[in-house]
Amino acid sequence: MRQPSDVENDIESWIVDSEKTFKTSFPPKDNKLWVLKYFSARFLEGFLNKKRLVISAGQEYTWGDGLYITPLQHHYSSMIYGRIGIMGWVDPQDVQRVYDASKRKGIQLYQEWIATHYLVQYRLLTTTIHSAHANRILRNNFRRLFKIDLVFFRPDQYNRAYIAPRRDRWFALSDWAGVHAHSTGQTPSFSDKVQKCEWIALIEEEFERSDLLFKDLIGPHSGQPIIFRSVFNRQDLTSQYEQTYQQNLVRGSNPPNILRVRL
Amino acid sequence: MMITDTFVYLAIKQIERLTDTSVSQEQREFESQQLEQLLRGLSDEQLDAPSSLRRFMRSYLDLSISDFEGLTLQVHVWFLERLSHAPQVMNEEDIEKLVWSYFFSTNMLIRYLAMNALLAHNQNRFRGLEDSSMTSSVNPVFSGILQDKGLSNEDKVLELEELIDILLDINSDQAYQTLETILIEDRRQRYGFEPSIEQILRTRISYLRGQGGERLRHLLGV
Repeated sequence: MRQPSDVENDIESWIVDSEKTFKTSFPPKDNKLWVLKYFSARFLEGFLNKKRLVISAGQEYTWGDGLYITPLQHHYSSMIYGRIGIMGWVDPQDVQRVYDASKRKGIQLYQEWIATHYLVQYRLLTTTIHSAHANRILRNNFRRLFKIDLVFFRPDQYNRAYIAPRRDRWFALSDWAGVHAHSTGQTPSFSDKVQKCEWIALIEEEFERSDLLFKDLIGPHSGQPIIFRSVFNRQDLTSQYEQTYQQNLVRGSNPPNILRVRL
Repeated sequence: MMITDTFVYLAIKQIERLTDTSVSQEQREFESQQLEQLLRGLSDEQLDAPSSLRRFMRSYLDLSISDFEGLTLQVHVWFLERLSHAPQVMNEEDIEKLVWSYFFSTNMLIRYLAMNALLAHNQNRFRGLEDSSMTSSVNPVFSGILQDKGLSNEDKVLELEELIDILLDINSDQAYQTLETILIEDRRQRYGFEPSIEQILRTRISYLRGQGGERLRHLLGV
């Protein structure tokens, strides 16, 4: 097994490589990194009161606690999480250090690091029933210690019409504001990392979740033959999203224009 | 469970629900967000805990030992994590409860979280003061192991190893300060454990890093 310092050096190098990949893949527009978040309609009232996103905190998130968002260009891929589509932007200065977990090397370095740095948590992860707790603590520690602002990774949940697992990327954006040095993670509190959030889309689809995938329930019966329901037949909504966002930004307290989206 | 206070009963029941995986993730997220906003009150201010947060956390800290033992692991985890977030809700008497939660089961997760809460309490207590190492909130854990007449010397070493590993995992200035204190105490008192605390630490030297690691290497003379 390699020395812990060697692994740390490799991770630092990987962060430098990841930054280059990220800037090329997701270039800011007007000095803003445009992002989306979809959630269930039950969260809408709370969102409209503050127009801020809430940090996801708990054991069931791929890279630990943070804001789970998608880049604007992959706008279909996280619609499985709810009918309400929110758009906002992240200041590129807030995503200086990024980590590419979509490639094998990024995953391997993380796995090597946790095995060489955490006696108790690694034991909990590998030899007890508390692996979900240990996973959360390890992922949070990793991102906090390396000061990683954003992890980008492949979707790890699936629907054949909405998600292109090889092409799409999801983001876990860090926000450790208010977190004590001895806290193992965040609380589900409001974040200011995604700025000027606006409600822009209503997804005309329902999903049924199983262990394996999210099954879409309306789309297959809405006219398009099921054989054509794949990611390759999707319309690009980027410009419509941008237009709707700009309209809503200037509408103030007037009711927002909502784009109704269906495949 | 023999909880007689309605507020405490409902607080515990709510956390049981938020940590129950048979409730859908979306439902738990929704209720967690609602609870969070209620606990924070009207402000996002973190330094002074809002009274609602203080009252909610007292539901856990003021439980009797037998009620404490009746809680699920997930409820302990939720409250201990939350205590690390808001150490200002704890007072001096709560150290005893946290030390008890460290020892009451041999569950490493609970121990890890209880230790974090103790260190958070210690840091909060001595915020702005120069040296807090000798009066650390963690000292009762160390002395608890040493004074436990039910443990053989061999078992005490196992307990000390686990304590050391937990502190190394936590990897904060406070954790390293505690390790230094334990090492100094062992050298001074000559407890005679086999292996000694110094030898245990030497076997972990490859895991030490950062400022704390440098300090410990210096202390061990390596």
